[in-house]
Amino acid sequence: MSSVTDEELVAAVQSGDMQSLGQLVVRWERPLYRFVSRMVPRSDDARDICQETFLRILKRADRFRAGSRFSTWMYQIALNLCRDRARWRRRWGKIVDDAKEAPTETTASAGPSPEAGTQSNELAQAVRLGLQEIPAEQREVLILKEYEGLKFKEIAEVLSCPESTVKSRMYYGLNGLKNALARQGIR
Amino acid sequence: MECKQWNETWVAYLYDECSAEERDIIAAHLDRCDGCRERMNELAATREVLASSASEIAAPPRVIVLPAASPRTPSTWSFAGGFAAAAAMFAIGLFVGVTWFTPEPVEQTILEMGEDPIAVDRGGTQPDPNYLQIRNEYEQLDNRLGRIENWLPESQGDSPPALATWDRVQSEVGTVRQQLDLRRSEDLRLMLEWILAADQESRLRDARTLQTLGIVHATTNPNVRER
Repeated sequence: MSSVTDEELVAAVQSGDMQSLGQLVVRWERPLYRFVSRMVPRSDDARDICQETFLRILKRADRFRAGSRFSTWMYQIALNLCRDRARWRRRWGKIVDDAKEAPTETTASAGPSPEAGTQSNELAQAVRLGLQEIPAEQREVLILKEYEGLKFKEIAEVLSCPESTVKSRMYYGLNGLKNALARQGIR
Repeated sequence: MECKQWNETWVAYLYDECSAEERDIIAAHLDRCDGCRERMNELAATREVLASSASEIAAPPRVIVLPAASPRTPSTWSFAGGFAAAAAMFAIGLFVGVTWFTPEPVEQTILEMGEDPIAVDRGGTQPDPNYLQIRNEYEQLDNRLGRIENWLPESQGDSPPALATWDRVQSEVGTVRQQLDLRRSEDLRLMLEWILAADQESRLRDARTLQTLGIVHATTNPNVRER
């Protein structure tokens, strides 16, 4: 376990220590990429957004407030970039079907058999499509909660909204996902 | 309390983020309300599917920014210009670059933001004033576009803007994008010019070094006599 906290590393970045940014990248690039990949269907978009997130962290390190959590700040930046990208794709993108054209790269789940692995991948694909069917604000909550393991209070900080709103979105998001999965013949 | 008013409490219960008191109340309610118990079971089942589908996302590409002489914040290192520069510079292995690749496995990533290559005095070469001006214009346009685009989603809330306003904003965005594209092209052209000049300079230096080595070799070889 590392003795230096993320917040201490950001403070070091603020004072010009670029090695600390390297440490933050090493710590957070995988969770960040995982999160962004679930928010945007295209893997090339996910890469761009991860890169831009770290560049913004570097560029805006002086705006990080003491007492805040680094991960909350990072997720906020990434989420805004995801929203920007989705907005841009809606308005300007000439892509017919993002999800089918360039799906996020996934590794096969470690299963006991190839059949089990295939089933698992099919389920993952169904959930991914299901998540795209529910409203974006519900999808954000589901992903931050279930995949990133944030507490409702932390999600509320990331989204800058009341905790009760987060829970409400979670409830309707789970119900929406259930219906979307049902339409695909799952449960 | 009406059952339908419990929506927020259900998820807190489901994720074990409620107080002990709330937990007892909910558990007691679930014992006597078939409808709520069924609803809770459905939520739990959906959550299980969601969790079980967490197939591992492929390893992310890595960020590497090669270090330069002294670090500083990249306030003048605009993203698009930087990307174009990095792509070109990586190709010839020069100076600072930002690139992504997927190593397997990678133990550590070095990330340092270096000097802006354009702003650095390289052996007497001063920054190209045209480039600096264009880069500033680019950043201004980028900021303007960001302001416009950030305004748009807010305006789409409960009270959508009038159609005329919407058309005007879209037209504005289109104009700014066109200007950005022009700046990007010019950005890239200037950067390539700079790289070619640096490459030529490097070749000349190599040629001079080889010539010097030849002279040294000749003067230290006993079989070579001065005429």
